[in-house]
Amino acid sequence: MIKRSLGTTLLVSLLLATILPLLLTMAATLFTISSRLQFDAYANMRAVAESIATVADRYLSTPARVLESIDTFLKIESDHQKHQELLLALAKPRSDIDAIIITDPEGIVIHYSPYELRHIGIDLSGEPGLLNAYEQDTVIYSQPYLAISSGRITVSAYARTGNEIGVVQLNLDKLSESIQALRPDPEDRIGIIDSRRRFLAHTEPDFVTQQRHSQPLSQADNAVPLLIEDGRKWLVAEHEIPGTEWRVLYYRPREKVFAVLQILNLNTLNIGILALAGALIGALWLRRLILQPLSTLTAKTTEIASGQYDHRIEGSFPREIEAFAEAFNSMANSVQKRDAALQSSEARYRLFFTRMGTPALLVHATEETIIDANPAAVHYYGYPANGLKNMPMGKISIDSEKATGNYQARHRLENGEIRDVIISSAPMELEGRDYSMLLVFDITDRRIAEERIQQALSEKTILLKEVHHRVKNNLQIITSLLELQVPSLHNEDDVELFRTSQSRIKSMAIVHELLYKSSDLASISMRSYFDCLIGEINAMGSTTGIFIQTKVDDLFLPIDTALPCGLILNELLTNAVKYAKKPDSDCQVLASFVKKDAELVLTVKDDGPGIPAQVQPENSPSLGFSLVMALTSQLDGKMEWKPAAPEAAYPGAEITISFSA
Amino acid sequence: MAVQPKSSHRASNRLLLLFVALCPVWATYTCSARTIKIGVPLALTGLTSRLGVSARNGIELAAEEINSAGGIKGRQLELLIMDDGDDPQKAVAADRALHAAGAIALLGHMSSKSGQLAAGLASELQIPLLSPTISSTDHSGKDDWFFRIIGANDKQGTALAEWALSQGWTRAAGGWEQSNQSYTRAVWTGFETSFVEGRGKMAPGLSFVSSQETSYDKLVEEWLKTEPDCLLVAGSSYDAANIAQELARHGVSLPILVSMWARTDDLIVFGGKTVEGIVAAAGLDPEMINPQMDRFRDAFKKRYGEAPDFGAVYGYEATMVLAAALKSAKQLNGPGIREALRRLEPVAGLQGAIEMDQYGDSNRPYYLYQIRDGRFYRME
Repeated sequence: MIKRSLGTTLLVSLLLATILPLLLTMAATLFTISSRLQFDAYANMRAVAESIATVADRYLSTPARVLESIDTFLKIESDHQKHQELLLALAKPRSDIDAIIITDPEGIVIHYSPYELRHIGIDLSGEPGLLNAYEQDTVIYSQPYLAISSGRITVSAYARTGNEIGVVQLNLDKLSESIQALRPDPEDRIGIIDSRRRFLAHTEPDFVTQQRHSQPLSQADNAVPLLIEDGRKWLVAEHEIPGTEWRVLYYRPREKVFAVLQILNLNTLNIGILALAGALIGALWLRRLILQPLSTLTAKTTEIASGQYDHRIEGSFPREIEAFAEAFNSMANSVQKRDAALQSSEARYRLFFTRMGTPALLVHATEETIIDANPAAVHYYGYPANGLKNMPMGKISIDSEKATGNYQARHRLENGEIRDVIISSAPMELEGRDYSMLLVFDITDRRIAEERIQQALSEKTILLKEVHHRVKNNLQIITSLLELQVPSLHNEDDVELFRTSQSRIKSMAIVHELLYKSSDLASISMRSYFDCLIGEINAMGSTTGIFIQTKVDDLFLPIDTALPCGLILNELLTNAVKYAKKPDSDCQVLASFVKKDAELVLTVKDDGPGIPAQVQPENSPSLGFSLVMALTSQLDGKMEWKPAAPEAAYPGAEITISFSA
Repeated sequence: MAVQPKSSHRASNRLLLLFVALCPVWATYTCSARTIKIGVPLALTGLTSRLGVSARNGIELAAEEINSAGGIKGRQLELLIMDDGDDPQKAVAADRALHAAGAIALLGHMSSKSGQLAAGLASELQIPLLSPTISSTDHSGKDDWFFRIIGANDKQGTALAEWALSQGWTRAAGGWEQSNQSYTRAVWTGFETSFVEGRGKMAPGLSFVSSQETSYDKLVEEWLKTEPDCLLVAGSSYDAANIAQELARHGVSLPILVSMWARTDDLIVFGGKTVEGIVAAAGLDPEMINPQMDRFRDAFKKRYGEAPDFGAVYGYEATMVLAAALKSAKQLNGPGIREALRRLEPVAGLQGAIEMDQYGDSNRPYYLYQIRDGRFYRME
């Protein structure tokens, strides 16, 4: 869209406002005068043409009168000589007639006046219209033609005169001469044309002698006919000559008809120019009054726009502009303050960006092109200063980058080295475009260290598992060795001692077995441990008629805690198997290990006869109880037992070990 | 820092743009306002003016059509028409006046006598002269500034002689018009040569002048003494008609052969029934039926109220040839137009292609016409 200049608009508006009404008034006046002038001029011209037609009619009626006289005379006088004398008498005093001729019906000349012998007997039948006259009662006029007898352009009037044809050749020069005097103005032209629009008379005689035709007419202003002749424009009025096919053309130079109008136009133009000049001066003055302050405002605005915020509009202006200038200066103050704050902020953040030790990249989000990079990034990647700017991310990033969030990637340095990095990407929008701020953390060294640690840990785990395996195997060997010794024993008590020892050793071996089979070397599942332990006790074959039930929470305990728990459970179950067995019914034993609040509680109870009242477990000389006590102490726990309670589900012995989780 | 208001810049730029944009408009306007002035010197008055008047009408009609169609290279043709009086001296004076008036080419001079000195003057003024009908052999084969679209006139005499011999006539008499003898003598010589070669006998030729003072009856009496089978009149229509009238007055019926100069409608007006049977040699046939001629005849009748004769046809065609040269001319001045005429490709005329050789001569054929019942009819 083309933006209009205020100055031009102002200038044009002011000019239009002042000149347009004047021009419209002048145009309307001129149009009215012009129309009236043309109307009057054309009316006058038509009146003149009509009067010329009347004169021409009189001129052209002469041949008819002459031919009528001849006809009358020929009818009453048959003498050939007298015919010739009559023709002489008729032709001689008339300058408007070239010749009077009598021909026979075939066009052969009988009489010719003024008499010349050479004309007698010549054939005029070729002259246009002559032979037709014999058959008609009216006078016939020929077209203009070059007559052989006179050698001049002429028009002939033919009529039957008696038994001959009378011919009157008109003097067209005389006709042209006669219409000269009818011109109101010497510059005007008058012509008489035939039906072919060929001139038979004209105020310029050459038009007739050169056999010219009228130029085609066109319609000029207000439908006044106009023609162009000899390089000039003429307004034309036509009028027919009565009784003929001829017409009078009266034409006046167009510029002459409108001479008054031209003067009026010129004066109007002068007034218009003066008014235009005046309006122009006024408009320019107004334009200057308004535009000069605007120019100053524009200049100051441009200065402030270029960063010179301390510039202010000063000077003397019209009141309205002055108020605008004050508002503008106030705005400039605000802008200056805001700019200072902005610059400070920008400097802070620029400093933060440039001094930041972490490589930082500003990347165009869609084009994936680096827009900016801080010195740390330049140093990290090894490119020269500004080398990273406008660089596609694909040149340094091996993996595809994510838009947001933290992610690991691999970046290529300038020297070709591939580094592992963690990218912290934050989306941002600046000036309507999407960017990502990438903070690059090199984790290559950390990754290598982690790998080494992981390798060492793996080796240690293998080693520990191997230790546990070997301990378990050793304990298994010990058990087997004891088993080998059993056949050599003769005392059942000794055998029992061996079995008890084997059971204790197995309870420890199970712990190591579970540990080396577990992926976690630090703790074992107590549920699995107890299941294995009870299974091992059952395998020893001493539990016939005894059904051991377990209720164990899925707890994982370190070996330091699990092993004493296992030994305690082994001792308590061994006691239960040993003392709760009933000869006439099955014995039910419940082993539970649950977590209650902050304590782990291990309970073994049965439906046997219970612990005799005289037995005090803490004072019992039994190795089993001593061992349980010692292990409970090792766990910083406490041991409780209950006497038999006949109403309980397990009315027999109930021993509970509890310790802090 | 002073800052120029941008609006002022824009206003200046717009004014400059407006000025630049208006330059071609102004140039086009001034160019189209300038007309191409063509001098048209013709015999428009006198006893032999019929040919010139007809040609003027044909030229005028062609120019009006060209201008209605937009002119030549956007410029209108302006005809500067002047009477050459059918006289060598007046013709030269007319040409000088037309050249002084700004004409860049001359289109006219219908008779060889009017072109007698004009051809030389054209070379002197370096203005091309294209004549519709000057057929004198005096101009043949000359590398000058004279061009024409009609064949050389000696062929007219030859055609008439061959026809006379074909009629079994062995004795011929006649004469030639003296003031236009560069044309009429060539016709006479062409006839005489061919007639004698055909074993005919020619009475010594008599010269005469187209004038009311000429005693055509004495001429006829002289010719009748030789008891000819036919008469050759190498003169104008006025001469031929007067001779026919005198023969009729003497009560003699004798075949008359005339050259193209006399083949105008005036011959019939002047001679009436006495010119019946006259045989004329002429080029183009104004009665020819073809689409171009039909359109031309209609336009001519509408403009002038009468049928065109052969002078109008030649005038019209000559204007079309000049227009073609003006269109192809590199420069619209005398030398430029002359060069264009010399290199002009054949132009489509009303009756076939119009072609000129390197000397500006045409080789178009002549035909024989005979007056029957007050009209010219082309003979087979």
